[in-house]
Amino acid sequence: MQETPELSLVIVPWTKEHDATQFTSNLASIKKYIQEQAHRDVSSYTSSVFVLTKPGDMVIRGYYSLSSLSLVFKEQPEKVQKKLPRYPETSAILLGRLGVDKDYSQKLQKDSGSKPRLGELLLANAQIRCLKNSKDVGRALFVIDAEMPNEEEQRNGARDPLPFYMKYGFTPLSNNPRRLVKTMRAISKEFESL
Amino acid sequence: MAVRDKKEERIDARLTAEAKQQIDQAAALQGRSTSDFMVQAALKEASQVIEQQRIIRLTVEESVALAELMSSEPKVNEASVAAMRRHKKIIGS
Repeated sequence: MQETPELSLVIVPWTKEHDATQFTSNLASIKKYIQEQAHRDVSSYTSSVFVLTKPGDMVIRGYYSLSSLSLVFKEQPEKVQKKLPRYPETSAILLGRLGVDKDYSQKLQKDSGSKPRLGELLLANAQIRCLKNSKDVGRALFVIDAEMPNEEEQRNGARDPLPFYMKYGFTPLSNNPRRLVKTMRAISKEFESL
Repeated sequence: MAVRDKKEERIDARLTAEAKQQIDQAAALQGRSTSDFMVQAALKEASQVIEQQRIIRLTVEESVALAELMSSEPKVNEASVAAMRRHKKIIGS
C-alpha cells in the first residue's frame, strides 16, 4: 500500500497577491466574500482575513475572517446582578466567516482516502491565534454567528454549520441558538493541555 | 418627531479649494446643494463606521447564561484538543 503523503499547509494573513478566483463553495456567500469583499474589509480594518494555502503557493484553499465585537449585558435586578461581571460589557472576537475550497478538499480526499478536515484546521488556527492575541488586548470570548445556509445553498448541498462548531466546544447562548460562544479560558486550557 | 427634524445644527469644515470644487461639481451633477450632498455623504460614512463597531446587546437570559459560563471552571473539549494537535502537525504552532 502506498504511503499517504504528509499534508503540509500554511495559514497566513490575506494579501492582495492571494488568488481566490478558483475558489468553490456550496455557500454562495462564502465564495462571494473571499472573491469580492475581503479586500475592502481588510483595507478598512473592519475584519482580518486569514487564508489557507499550500506552502509557497498563493491560491486560497480556505479562509476565515475575524472582527471585534462588544457584548453588552442587560441590567438586572440586584439578585441576578451578583452573577454578572463587574463590567457592563465584555469584548470578544467574532469569527465572521469560515470557508473551505470544495474542489481542493475533494481532491485531497481522493488522493489520501480520508477527509482532510480543512475547516477543523482553520477553526483551530483561529482559536490559537486569538488566544495569543488576547494576551495583549484582553478578550474574554470567542463568538461565532453560525448562519443557516439559505434554501438555494441547501439545494447545492450546504449543511447547517451548527453541529460542526458545537463538536469543538462552542455552546449556544440561550435565546439565540445560532450565536455560539466559547471562553478564552476554555481555549487556553485546551491549548495548554497539548 | 417632526420638531427634531428641524435643521438647526451647523458644521463648519475647512478644506482646500480643489476639494471644494470637486464636491461642488459632484453635487451639481446630481442637482443637489453642496450642503445636502456633504451631509448625506457623511451620514452614509457614519452609519458604516457605526455598523463596523459591532455591538451585541444581550437579553436578560443571555446575560445570565454568559455570566455563568464566564465565571465557571472552563471545560476542555477533547475534539478541540485533537484538532489543535492535528493543527500543530500540519500547520505548525
